[in-house]
Amino acid sequence: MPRVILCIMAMTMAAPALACPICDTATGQQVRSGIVDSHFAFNVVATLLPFPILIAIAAFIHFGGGGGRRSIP
Amino acid sequence: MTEITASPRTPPSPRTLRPLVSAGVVLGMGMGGFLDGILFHQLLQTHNMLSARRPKDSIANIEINMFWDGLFHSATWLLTAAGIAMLWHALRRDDVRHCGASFIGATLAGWGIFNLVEGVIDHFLLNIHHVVERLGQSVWDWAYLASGVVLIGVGIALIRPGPRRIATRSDRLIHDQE
Repeated sequence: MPRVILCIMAMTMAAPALACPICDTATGQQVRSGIVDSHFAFNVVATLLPFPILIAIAAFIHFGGGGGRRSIP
Repeated sequence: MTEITASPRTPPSPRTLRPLVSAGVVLGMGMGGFLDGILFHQLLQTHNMLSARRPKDSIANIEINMFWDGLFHSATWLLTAAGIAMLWHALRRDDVRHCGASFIGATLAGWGIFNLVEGVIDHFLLNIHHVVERLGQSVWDWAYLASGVVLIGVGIALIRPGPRRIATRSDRLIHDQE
């Protein structure tokens, strides 16, 4: 029975840990080199590009555009 | 000598919805980002952040996409936190109208703005992922943009304050005193 439990634990817990970006394994190395590759800067910009635009829209609403300040009858 | 004090009945003027609306919009953007990530990246797994550039055909590529999903979620977390801070400040101001429908409308509009901006940039301009990646650019990407337009429309309709929905913090204080 303990062997079965150990086997299940090894199957369910060890496999995911082998592939993480900070894992010292072949797959971990592959993941690291896939993240920090020649496209790294592009990928950072591509992932984050919508956010400056969203912030600019929010700033426009907060500080400028629209008619938010009206008197109540 | 008469002491001059501010009357509790003196309403601050002019009253504004803008801080509440901008807080709702930022919160909606953040929550829209989380919904995108949770629904499409994690639950349905129809795409990931860079799945058009890094197809999810190996453990390494899945992990790499997961990293970029994490960066995306970090930014949505910051947006949501900013929205909470803005809401906190808005609710503490005496001249801000407290209108639930307007706040919900602003949140929906923020969600719609997120879908529209993210959809145009990521799905159409940069092509780094698509709603259903195995189909490439498809009707689902257009539906995603359309959902943004609809949400913005519904949000704007709700933001417009009706006379019964308007109340400022001062109004409620006066009401409580009465």
